[in-house]
Amino acid sequence: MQTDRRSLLKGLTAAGLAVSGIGWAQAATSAAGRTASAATRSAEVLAVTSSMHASALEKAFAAGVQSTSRNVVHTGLQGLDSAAFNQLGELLTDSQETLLLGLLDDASATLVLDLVRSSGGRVLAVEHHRVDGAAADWAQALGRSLASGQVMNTTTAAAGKEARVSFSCVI
Amino acid sequence: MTSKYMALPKGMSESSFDAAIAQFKKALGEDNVMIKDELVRPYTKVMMAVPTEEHTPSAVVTATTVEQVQEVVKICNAHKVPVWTISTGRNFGYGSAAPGQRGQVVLDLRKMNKIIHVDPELCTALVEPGVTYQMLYDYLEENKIPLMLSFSAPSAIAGPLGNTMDRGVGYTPYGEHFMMQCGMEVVMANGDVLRTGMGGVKGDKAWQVFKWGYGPTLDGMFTQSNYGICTKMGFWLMPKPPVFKPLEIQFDEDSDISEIVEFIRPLRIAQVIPNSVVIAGVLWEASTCNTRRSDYTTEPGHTPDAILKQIQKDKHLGAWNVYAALYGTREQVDVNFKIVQDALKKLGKGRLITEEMAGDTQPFKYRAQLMSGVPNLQEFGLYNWRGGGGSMWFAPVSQARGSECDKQKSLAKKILNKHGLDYVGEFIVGWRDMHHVIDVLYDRSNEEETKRANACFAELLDEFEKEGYAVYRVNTAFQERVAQSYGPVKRDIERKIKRALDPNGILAPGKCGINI
Repeated sequence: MQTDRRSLLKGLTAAGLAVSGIGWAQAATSAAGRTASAATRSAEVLAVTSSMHASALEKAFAAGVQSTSRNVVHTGLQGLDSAAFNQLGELLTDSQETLLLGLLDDASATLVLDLVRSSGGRVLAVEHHRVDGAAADWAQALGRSLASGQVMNTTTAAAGKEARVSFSCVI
Repeated sequence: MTSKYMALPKGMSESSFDAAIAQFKKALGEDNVMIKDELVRPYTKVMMAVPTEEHTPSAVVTATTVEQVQEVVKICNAHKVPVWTISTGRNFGYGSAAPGQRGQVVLDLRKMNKIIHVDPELCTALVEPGVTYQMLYDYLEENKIPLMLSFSAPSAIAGPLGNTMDRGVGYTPYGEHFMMQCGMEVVMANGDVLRTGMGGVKGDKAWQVFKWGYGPTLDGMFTQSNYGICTKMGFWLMPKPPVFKPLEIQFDEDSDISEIVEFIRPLRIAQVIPNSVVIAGVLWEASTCNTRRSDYTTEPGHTPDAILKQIQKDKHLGAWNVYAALYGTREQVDVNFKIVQDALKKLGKGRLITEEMAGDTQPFKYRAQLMSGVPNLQEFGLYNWRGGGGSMWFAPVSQARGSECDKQKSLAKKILNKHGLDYVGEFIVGWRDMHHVIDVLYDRSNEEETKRANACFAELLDEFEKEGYAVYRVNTAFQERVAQSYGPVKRDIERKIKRALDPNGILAPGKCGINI
């Protein structure tokens, strides 16, 4: 893991981002236009979830991502702390290409996706979901499919009251 | 046949657009011209209740200098390409970074992000479009400059130039942002660079301190319009006061709004309370402290009043929550605090909460930050109330008169509830006016609810207009409709100005209903 990224992750933790599953790889950046699956194979993966509800969904999603790629960092956004988002923004603007996968509440997703836009990132997929808070299997499958670059069949989602947004971006 | 573009400018062939794109690349560099779906998609419509296709750009270009902006308008004129300019693109709920019309090229000025000058003695700033409030805040802190910012609620990531050009408001004594603007640099459609106010005088040093210059004052016509591209803006900053005292006053009944306004107005006009006071409804405040509708009910439709009362009780909120602040020396603040206390005593209702009483709790904490110029993102919690990411601001103006505010609130709630949506609103007190800001929140992943939200918004505009009310700002899907509210003569003059300044109609056609 690069030193600047390590210090940034430290900063993220201090600012309200819980970080787990450290396993950065040196990225083999390539020309634009890589697919999600290609990025997953050769570059870093950053899985972002909301931590404020400590839901089973978030943990399962991260586990799904981690099961498909070895080089995953999982960050949990804790609330709407601006320092955390600013530091995430810095992470998005460094020169290393990263696959960003998220399962977030609407407020956090709005902010993260806009950070992706304003740092020139590529949005591969965005989807809204209404799921049961205990639909861990669904969330794990979603994480797995996004990390492997497949399209998730959301009709398999357990309908419920929890609103979430999933996305896949290359930053 | 598939196109390499997500959309094309209206009436333009792909081959003609290819030629324009080639010129953009030559002028700006390959990396600053984006046409691939995955790069353009983040600039499509986000929150409005209309099809995404209606607000899909053909391309996105980024400029880093005024000269490059001049090049862009030159190319646009040569190829008759419409261009939609954004600064930070964080005008959430009003259109975000998406163009007003399908096929327009987005000119993203986020890379023009220099803080050109901050004068700690004259308390002024001059910035480029991509400067965010957070950047400016950090600059002031790092350089230990004791000045205070005023910003809208998405403060940390929005920017002063874009917010002021859209006539946004904040929560400090400098909360009417356009009032505090002083000097603009504007690239006109023909490529000329205009400096307003004193900015055109050779050797001038007063550009950021004297607004009016000589002859007609032009700054206003560039706000909420498509007459030019603002590339620099000056504005005034408030000195940090030695003492800042934020206050909250909670009122228990929905029907208290009229008395609240009558209580606040004289204090505000007399500048006893100098800031843009907020009177926020219970759902607004509950949402920003992490309350979701699904915590209380999963029934469709609007949230029943009984649940609103329960939320009020559970979250220790009022039906209305007034946020105000006092600024100055200890003596000044003490005197004004006593005046507020006496007025409240005379009113005979309302619970006064000070910072010492509130501690570190939300929403008091973020409200105090907004009133003292500390950026935060807490208000994004609104999007979690109903979930689904749909949001359109309905923002009618009214007199700062209790009966008017009561009438507006009742009318809005009735229409929103009829469409199965909630009244999530606040009043922001100007000196004599109210910005009645309502977030029409809906689930945009639900097609039926999206249609309902659109119908609701249209009905809000129609019914308010019948009562003599109009909005001061609106999302790009309803610009044409709102322009009609302001009458044909104004529109005719706006069109004549547009034709004179931008004969090819390349700059943001349709913005605020203005076309050639």
